[in-house]
Amino acid sequence: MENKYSKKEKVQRREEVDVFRMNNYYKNIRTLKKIASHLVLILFALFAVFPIYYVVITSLNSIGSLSASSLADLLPNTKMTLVNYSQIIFQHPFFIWLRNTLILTVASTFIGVMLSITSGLAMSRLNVPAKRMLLYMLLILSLFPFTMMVIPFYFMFSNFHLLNTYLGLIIPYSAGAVIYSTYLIKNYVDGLPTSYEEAAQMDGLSKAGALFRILVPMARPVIVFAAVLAFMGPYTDYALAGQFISSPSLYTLAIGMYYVSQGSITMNYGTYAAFSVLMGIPIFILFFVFQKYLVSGFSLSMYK
Amino acid sequence: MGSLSLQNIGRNFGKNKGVFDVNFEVENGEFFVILGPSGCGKTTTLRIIAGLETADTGHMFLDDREITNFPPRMRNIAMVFQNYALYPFMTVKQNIQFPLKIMKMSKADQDAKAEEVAKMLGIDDLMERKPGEISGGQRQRVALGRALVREPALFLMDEPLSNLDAKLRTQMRVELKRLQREFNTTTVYVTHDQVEATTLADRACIMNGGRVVQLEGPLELYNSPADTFVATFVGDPPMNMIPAKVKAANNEVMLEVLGQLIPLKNFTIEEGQEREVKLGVRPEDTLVGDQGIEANLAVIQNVGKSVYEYFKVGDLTIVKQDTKNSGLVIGQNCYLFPDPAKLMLFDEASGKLIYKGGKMVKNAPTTA
Ligand SMILES: Nc1ncnc2c1ncn2[C@@H]1O[C@H](COP(=O)(O)OP(=O)(O)OP(=O)(O)O)[C@@H](O)[C@H]1O
Ligand SMILES: [Mg+2]
Repeated sequence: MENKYSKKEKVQRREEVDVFRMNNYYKNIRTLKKIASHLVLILFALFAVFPIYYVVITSLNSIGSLSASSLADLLPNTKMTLVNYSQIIFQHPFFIWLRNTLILTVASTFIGVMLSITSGLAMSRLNVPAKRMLLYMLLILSLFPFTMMVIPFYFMFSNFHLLNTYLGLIIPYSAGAVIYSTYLIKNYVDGLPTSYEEAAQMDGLSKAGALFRILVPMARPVIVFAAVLAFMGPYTDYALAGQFISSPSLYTLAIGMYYVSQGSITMNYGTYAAFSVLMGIPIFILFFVFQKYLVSGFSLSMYK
Repeated sequence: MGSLSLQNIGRNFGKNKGVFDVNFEVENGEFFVILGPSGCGKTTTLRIIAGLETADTGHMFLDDREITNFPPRMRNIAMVFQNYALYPFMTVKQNIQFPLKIMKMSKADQDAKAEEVAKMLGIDDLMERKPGEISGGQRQRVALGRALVREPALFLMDEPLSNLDAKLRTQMRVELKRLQREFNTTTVYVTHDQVEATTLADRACIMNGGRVVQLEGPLELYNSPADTFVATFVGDPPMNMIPAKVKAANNEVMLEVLGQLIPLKNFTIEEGQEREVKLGVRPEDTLVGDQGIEANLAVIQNVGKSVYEYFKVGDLTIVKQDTKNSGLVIGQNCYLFPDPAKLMLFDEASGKLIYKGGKMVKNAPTTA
């Protein structure tokens, strides 16, 4: 029988079919990979969102104690109520606590970030004596948990009559911010070429002028990140504030939260959750507004 | 106004790095180029002039005023950086106006000045954009604008064209020269590209290992290089360098190169003496003839307006440049010889030029 194709043509045809198959194979693999990665990401997202959902749904429940709750309460239901919220807002001086907290956080964030900017710039660009040692000290300090300082600070500040005052909290809060932020800002500024501040010096600025007027705006992402970090600490602090503040008129939100959710016998979880939601709103807004900077800030702090 | 004078300027970074004993004068309105290979100290010299780096030794004068220890802002010098260093958070307009703003010039004057400079550079339609939103060539213009706007006494540029593609570079080169003429600002320009140097410079100095090795008009650098370093650095492809010997015997002075004897006119040497030299021949002065050094054609490179032919002679490669093909094919043997009127001889030990254009160079070192 006559062969339709010569041997050479046959080989060629087989190769063509193989190439076609291989292309299809890699295409399918790519689709599978995409599906798998999306599944994993969805799982992680659920994992991250669930606690928030849990807190919100609990805050809308009027159930008194954990023992009285069931899994069904995790789903939206008809018994949902805003009573926990109204209780916090109308039966307690919530807005005074909010004001106290804002005074403390804004003041310590401002002071902390200002000091961090100057020290970070100096650490990056000036010949500071014993620079290495200072940086190591900052690094070591940042390893200690903040709560460890509560008792020594308590004794020290009682001598200075700083207990139960705003200043007594603003000082340690801003000092804490300086420890973390100096390092962050220094690292970021290290990555900026020196030609910008040099160009500014050629354009007529002094060295200090060039650092502040050129490098500070250029370091905006890390400064915003540092500021949010500096804000978050004091905003949620209970360890220090709970010990230092005793007069109710100076209560912060964190102390207020504890005070409010303390039931007569058991912890009042609905109130606790509602307070968490209320306290979370400003943070949520903060993250939303500065989203752009925070994403880059997080990646900066991770990979440096 | 703007005449610059550097006297014994030095900056030692240790390990024989830095710049040493740099002396030169740049006249008012002159375009002065510092040329040299990577790491020879060009940037360091420029930064010392700018005041961004301090000199360990020496003095510096701008318009007869000593500025050696002045901070950069007091020098009235503008600089264009290699990466342009445009402030990324300001618009093009704010960038250009920045030096004026620091001078506390009135807002109306700032606008007028910036507008004028931008028109001149053809960037007036980009004024509201940020540096991140314009092309490399446009950024380059903005950087020039920021430097030009305050009419400095001296203008410094550190390889300003090196980030541009070849075509744009040629175009900006012409433009730079035009602008410099127009503003008539004294300019010190750093580059490692000798084409840039020859097209832009009124005068150029060549640096090597932190020292100025020759200071001349750009054509003189090509036509009478002070030593083998300059000879091979200036020119592309570089000058052919061939070890050779000058011999005086039987009342005849001959150049012995690769086994061939070439008669040499006007070479001062005592009868019976020999002298080791380096023969330097430009590719365009390399000729093909009936006799001479036997060579083998290895590569032909035709770039259109000229043809480069690379010959092998033992381990040596000799380049010949002409406007047309010599008619040889690859692998073919032929005879090469240097144009006797153009050949240069360099002292073997010091590398200094001793013989050129058919006669001895004045003040050439006599013996090795
Ligand atoms: N701050 C410094 N500290 C120590 N050594 C330095 C410093 N700056 C430059 N050098 C060294 O001095 C030499 C000259 O450097 P410079 O930057 O002036 O070279 P260049 O001619 O501009 O080179 P390129 O063409 O690569 O830019 C180099 O060997 C460099 O490593
Ligand atoms: Mg350089």
